[in-house]
Amino acid sequence: MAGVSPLSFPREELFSAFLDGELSAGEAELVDELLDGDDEAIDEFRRIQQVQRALRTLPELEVPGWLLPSGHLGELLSAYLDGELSAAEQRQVSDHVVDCAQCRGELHDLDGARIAIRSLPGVDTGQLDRITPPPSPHRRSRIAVAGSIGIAAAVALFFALSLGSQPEPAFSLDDLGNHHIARASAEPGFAVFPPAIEVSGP
Amino acid sequence: MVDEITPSWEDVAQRYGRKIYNFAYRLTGNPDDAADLVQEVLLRVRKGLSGYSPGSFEGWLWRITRNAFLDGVRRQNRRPESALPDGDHHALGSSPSPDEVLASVRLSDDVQAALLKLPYAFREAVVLCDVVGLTYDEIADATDIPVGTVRSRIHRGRKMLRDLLTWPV
Amino acid sequence: MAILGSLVAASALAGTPAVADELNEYLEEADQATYSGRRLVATTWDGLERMGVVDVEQLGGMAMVSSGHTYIMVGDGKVHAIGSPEAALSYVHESAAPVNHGYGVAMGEIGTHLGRSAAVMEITENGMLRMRLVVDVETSAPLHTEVFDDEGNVFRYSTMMEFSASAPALDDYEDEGEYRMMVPLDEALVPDEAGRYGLIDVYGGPADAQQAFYSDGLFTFSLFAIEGTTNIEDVAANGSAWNLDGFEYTRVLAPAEVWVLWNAQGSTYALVGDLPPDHLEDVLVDLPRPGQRNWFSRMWAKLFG
Repeated sequence: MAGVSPLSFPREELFSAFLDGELSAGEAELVDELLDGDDEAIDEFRRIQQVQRALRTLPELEVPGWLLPSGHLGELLSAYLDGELSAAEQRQVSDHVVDCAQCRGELHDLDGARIAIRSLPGVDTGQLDRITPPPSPHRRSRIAVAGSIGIAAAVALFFALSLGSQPEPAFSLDDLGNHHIARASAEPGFAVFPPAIEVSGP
Repeated sequence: MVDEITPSWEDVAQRYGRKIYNFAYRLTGNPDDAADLVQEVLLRVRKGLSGYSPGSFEGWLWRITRNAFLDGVRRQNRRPESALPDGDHHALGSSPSPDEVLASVRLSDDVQAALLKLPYAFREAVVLCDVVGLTYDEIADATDIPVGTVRSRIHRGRKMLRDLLTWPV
Repeated sequence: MAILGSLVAASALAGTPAVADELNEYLEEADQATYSGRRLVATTWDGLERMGVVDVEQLGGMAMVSSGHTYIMVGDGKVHAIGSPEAALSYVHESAAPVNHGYGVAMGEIGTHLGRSAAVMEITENGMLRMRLVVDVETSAPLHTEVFDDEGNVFRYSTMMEFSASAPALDDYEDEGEYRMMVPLDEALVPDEAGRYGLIDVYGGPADAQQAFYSDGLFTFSLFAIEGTTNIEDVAANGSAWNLDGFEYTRVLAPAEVWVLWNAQGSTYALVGDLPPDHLEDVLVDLPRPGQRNWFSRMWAKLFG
């Protein structure tokens, strides 16, 4: 029977930190020692590595266009339309507008407003520049989340299924067990008895 | 990491917006919650920038992000829903073949679903490390816990994930 | 380790029972102990043994227990079962049940166990040895526990195979999950007392059940009463038939607790807890018995055959 573990933490934790490049030279050497010729340790290491990779290769999602601060060209846009910018500033705006749907939309709206104002009787009309209208800006919508339910809904569904005559039993020992150990854990005697968890037996 | 120049609010939005969005998305699995968080963080950054004295900017930013997230969770008292990524987003990167797309999307769905099953403290540690890319020290700084605890939580979180995922041996 | 010290001082003669309050105090300290490790737990009944191994980390009254692919966070009236089946429950409970006056505590001398400074604690019940613990002096954590039936056989034991006086993963742990709140009901459909156990509180359980929680201060059980009768085999595939006083129950053994299931009075009953066999038999006597019809139908049967 094993006594106190030689490491105060499991070796998997070292492997995990090693993969993150967070170990000192001495600790990294220890990892090499642990892995040397120990197939089980190597398997453990590979498993952690797999998880880490799966997480790190999760697709990085693009932020919806409408979300970042609108008009981050700010008053530059209006000035741009009014021909008030220097050549360098104009370049900055047009470079940005090429990539930014949000600003293109805003530019179009501003341009439309400007034209509307300028076509009012009595307003001095200068050169009118039309800018190609961009696709309509993305609007936020309430996304229906398919195939997912929170705990409350899951419980309600469970109740709904259990009403009426069902061939299957309305409850499971796992579920009742969870209810019991939750309540029992509030009592002082709980500390000396291990929680009820389904474990493999002989 | 010490920044000498305080970034402008627009810089922050441009540079960190995506990271903040992905942090929130991976933590909640919910694009609306993620969007809420980005807006809230940018708001707080804007308010806080005037009072910010240069130090560890990223640490400051991630602390704000984390607090904004937790405030949102407490306020809404809503359990993060396990949502599948939908067509609103476009994953970055080169164009893979349709089969590759299908396989990678399915896999990332599994990982996301498993992530959402972890208790918050472990999920956060893993997301800050593997999705946001912070070092243990940076995570410790942002979450106000010792580095040893960060390491344990990351390890525990990965181990739980591994067990939750049906992993081909 | 204040409580162990005072217990040792109080029992200058080995085997002198201390007051039950001090047992309560120890149990609360054990609940708050900080430790982690691997634990073996096994329950034996009528020659049948169920054994399991779990990894455990405990800090601040919260424990993370895992085995294979299953993880649960449990403590302070809450459970969060991660994976399948998922559950997140938080119980609003009455104050802790006092230890029954029949229990006494005696301390042995301090020695070593698993390389750690440890002391033996014996819990007696009306003079009979009911439980023996080897307690870690530094953390108050139980390193080894044995529960005895009324014939002196070990009914359940748990032992730490690896032990460390720290739980780094739970350090500064803030629970941000959302739990389903379980609030006590005002009325119970079950007796106030069963055996030596008192009814502490009652909740609306799953599946239109009522969960009645009983305690004798040391051991506890929940009695679930579910409307409608059930085919017990569907629920407990690996149960065994148990005949007690001529009544047929189904018994399921698990490493850390015992289940008894039966139908009575148009309801299904499921009892689960860590109580020893002799306690369990006394409890069942005071509960509705299997196949027992209610008063009216009994009278009808008597009068009209």
